[in-house]
Parts: sequence; C-alpha cells; structure tokens
Amino acid sequence: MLCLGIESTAHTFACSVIKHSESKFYPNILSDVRNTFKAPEGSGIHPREAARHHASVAIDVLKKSLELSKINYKDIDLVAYSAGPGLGPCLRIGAVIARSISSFYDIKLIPINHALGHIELGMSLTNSKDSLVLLVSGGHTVILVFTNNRWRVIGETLDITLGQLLDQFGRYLGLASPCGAEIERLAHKSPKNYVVLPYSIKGNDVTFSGILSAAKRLISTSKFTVEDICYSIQETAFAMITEAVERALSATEKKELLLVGGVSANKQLSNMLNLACQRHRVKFNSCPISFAGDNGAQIAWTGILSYLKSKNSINISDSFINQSWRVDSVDVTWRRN
Amino acid sequence: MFKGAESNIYLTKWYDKKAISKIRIPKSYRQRILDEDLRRRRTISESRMLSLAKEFGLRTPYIYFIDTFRAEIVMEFVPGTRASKVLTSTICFDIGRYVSTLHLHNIIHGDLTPANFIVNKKITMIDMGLSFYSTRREDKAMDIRLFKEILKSTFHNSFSKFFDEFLDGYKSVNSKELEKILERIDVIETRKRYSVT
Repeated sequence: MLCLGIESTAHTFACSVIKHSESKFYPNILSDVRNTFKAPEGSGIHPREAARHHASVAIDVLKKSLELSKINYKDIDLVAYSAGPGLGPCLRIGAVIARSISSFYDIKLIPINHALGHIELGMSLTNSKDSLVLLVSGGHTVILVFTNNRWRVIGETLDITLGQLLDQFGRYLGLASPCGAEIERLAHKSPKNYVVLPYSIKGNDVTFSGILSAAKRLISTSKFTVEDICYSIQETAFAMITEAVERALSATEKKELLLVGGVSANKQLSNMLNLACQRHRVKFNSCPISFAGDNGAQIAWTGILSYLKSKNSINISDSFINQSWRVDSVDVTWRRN
Repeated sequence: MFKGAESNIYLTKWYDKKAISKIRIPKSYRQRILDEDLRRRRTISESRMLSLAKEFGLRTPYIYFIDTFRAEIVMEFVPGTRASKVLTSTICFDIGRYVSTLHLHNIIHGDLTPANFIVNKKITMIDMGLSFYSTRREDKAMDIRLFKEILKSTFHNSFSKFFDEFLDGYKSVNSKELEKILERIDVIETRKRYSVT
C-alpha cells in the first residue's frame, strides 16, 4: 500500500510517499521532499505570504516526490493531508492539492492531525511502545500520555510555545524565522554567563511569555551580550520544560520518554531531558533530527496507520481544515492502552 | 523510600518518632544559581505553608526540622495510601473542601493532584512545594483547572462524577466565589493553544 502525505501547516510545504508492507511494520519512506518558506529577516511567517509560497512550489514538490519514489499518481492508494492545527491559508493549499489528486485519480482521502503525525512517526521511528511524549515546536509545547484511545495532554504551555519563544526573541534581534538553530549557535558562544530569567511552572504547565519580556528588556539595558541572553533563555526555558516532564514522569510512571517536534533538534534540550531521564531510570528517545521538523512522512505514516485499522476515508464534500484542531480531540483507533 | 519528581523521600527517625525526610536534590540540568534558589525557596515556603494550613483546620504533617542548605524538611510520617491510587467521590469531595479552605485564606496550592494527598479514613495534604499567597481569581482558577486536567487525563471514566464531587466539596466551604472562578477557568482554557472558542 502506498500513501502520499501532504504537509502544509506552517512554513513548510512537503510531500512524502510511504510504502507499507504487511511483513514489516516500519515506515518505509520512499521519498521526503520539502520546501520551506523563508521569512524576511526580523519578521515572522505571514500566513498569506507562506500560503503564496506553498502554492508556487506545491507542484514541484509533489512531482519530485513521485519521481523519487518512482511511482505514478495511479499507484497511490491513499492521500493523507494535514488538516490542522496550523495557519488557515497554508492548510488550504495542502487540502486543495490533496482533494484534487483524490478526485481526479479516485484515491481515498484522509485528513490527519499534524501533531498526531509528529507523535506517531516519532513513536514508530524510535520503536517506542509506551512513552510519555514531549512535543515541542513552533505550534506546540505539550506533554502527552496515551490513555483511553487518545493522546491526552497532561501538561502544556499556557501561552506561547517554546518555538515561539525562540522565534519571537530571534525576530527581536533581527534574525529570520525560524530562529531556533541560530539562537542555539549564539547560546553556544556564550561563556556560560547566566542571567536569571522568570522561571514559571504551574503544576505540569509552563508559561514562557515572562522569559520573552524579560529577555527583550535585557537587550535594551546592554549589560549583557546577546549570546549570554540567548544562553540564559535556553537554560531557563528548557529547565522549566524538563521539570514539567519530570513531574509528568513521576505522575504517570512511564518508562520511556519520546521527544518530537522542531525544537527537538536542539542539543541542549536533549541533554537536559537525558539527565532527567537518567535520574528516573527512564529510556530517552528522540525523533531522528531529519524528521524533527515538519515533513510529509509524518502525515503519510499516520494516514497509513489510521486507514489500516479503521478503513475510514472521507468524501471530498466532507473534507475540512481546522486551524485549531487539538490533538487530544482525535480518536486513535490503532493504538492500545 | 520514594523518588518524587523533585525530591527524594526517606523514612527516618526524629528522636523516637517515625519521620519523613524530604530532600530536594540538586538538578544537574539546571543552572546552579537557579537550582539552589528554587530548592531553598521551595523548602522554606513548603514548610511554612504546611504549618500554616494547620491553623485553618486542615490535616498536614507536622514539620519537625528544616535545613535550607540541604533543602531538607523532616516531617511527621503519615500512614496511608496516596489518593491517586484509591480515588473515590468522597475523597474528591474532601479535596475540594481542603482547596476551598486554602483559597478562602488566599493560599494557592500550585500542584493540586490526587497524588499529593494521603488517605487513611481522613485525608492529609502532604505536598505544598509550589504553594504561594495570592488573592487573584486567576490563580485560584489555575488550581482547580489543574485538578480538572489530571482527572480528565488519568481518571477519564469517572471524570464528571469526581469533578462534580470536588466542586460540591469546594462549595461546602465557600460557595460565593466558585461561580466566578469557574468563569475564569473558561477564560484560561480559551487562552490555551488551539482551543475552540
């Protein structure tokens, strides 16, 4: 069975084809093609501009993905698209392409929750069975556990996400979004001059907006270098999320932790989580960096999992996008408690 | 004896009495200055809050001794089971009563989960490490919201029954503010990501 996954929730437009064979239950990724919208320096992702970018590269990405997989449209059995959560104009581009292929070639259509895609691909690639999951990206900062047919949220950010904290601060410095990698590089150059920033953890939940305001204010005082502030932002924000994870680990008594999402590419975050996991004798898994950011494979793979179990697909007239589709509202039929 | 999220719990003796020693251990992933400050502050505030709660007639362990440098609290050993293991409607009612009493005196629990209560006939509140003073409705709402989320994620099947009992317990102490606090929870929930307004 071949599934085409189309991803277009935010800055990345991506297509991927995954082949599923009965014998081996592992994502066999035939192709993984992406094209990412680059925002001008100092500004963020404008939804309209990103959508315009997606529309202009979509056909190229799609063609390349099929070429690399050495298949034709007619070979595809399923088309899965990310239906949310994300930026409306961007989601619509992906949905339109998915609907077109589905109707023209009469292929089954499956809407996929983007966050669920991150989780499920990460679980499969790392061979995780029963993990606590930390999803950190520009759109999510959330700690999840699987119970009663759903990935349930046991801790999350109450305001901005970890990715937004890094991006918004980066933009303030005049960097181009996404800024996570650049901030990590700057932080690494600091001689470990730590400035105390607001550390706010409420139960299993965290808030990052205080760090953002305080860090911006520090820039204008010019008492500390940009590198030191980047270093301190990382140290404070990551310590908060690590503590929240630790709380969740001791509450759920899970023996595995899985880190997924764009910010999981950050080495310092992995280090800190790893230290916490060691103390609790928990196995620490991280999604391979090549699939940390948004990609089509996560959508294609989740499409396969969903279809294998339920055989459900939707009619074009019922297909939808949902900008605020929470992952804890999606029934996961293929996973057992 | 037990490894919590932020501290190690040891069974010990205080003079002849069976006692619990709770040591907030240093976190290697945290900056030292941040880590020491957090551990010290939480140790002081927790022991203060646990003692203070007694004045409102709530059952909490007696504090025998604190060491702010080691971030250690030696306190009364309370026999029983964690409420998270044996949660019932009655326990939820009692927890509601406790929280309402704290809120009446403008104390926010900060980490309101069933695991932080011990049950043997009556309930005892054992962990107030994240407690603080506040008169803000927002903070009181946060307490209730956290409890609601935990019930939803871990006691999914009896969620509405348990949560209603909790609210009844809350009302039994102070019914005046609950309505407004619940409204505030709605505000908080619409503020979180991808919520449907």
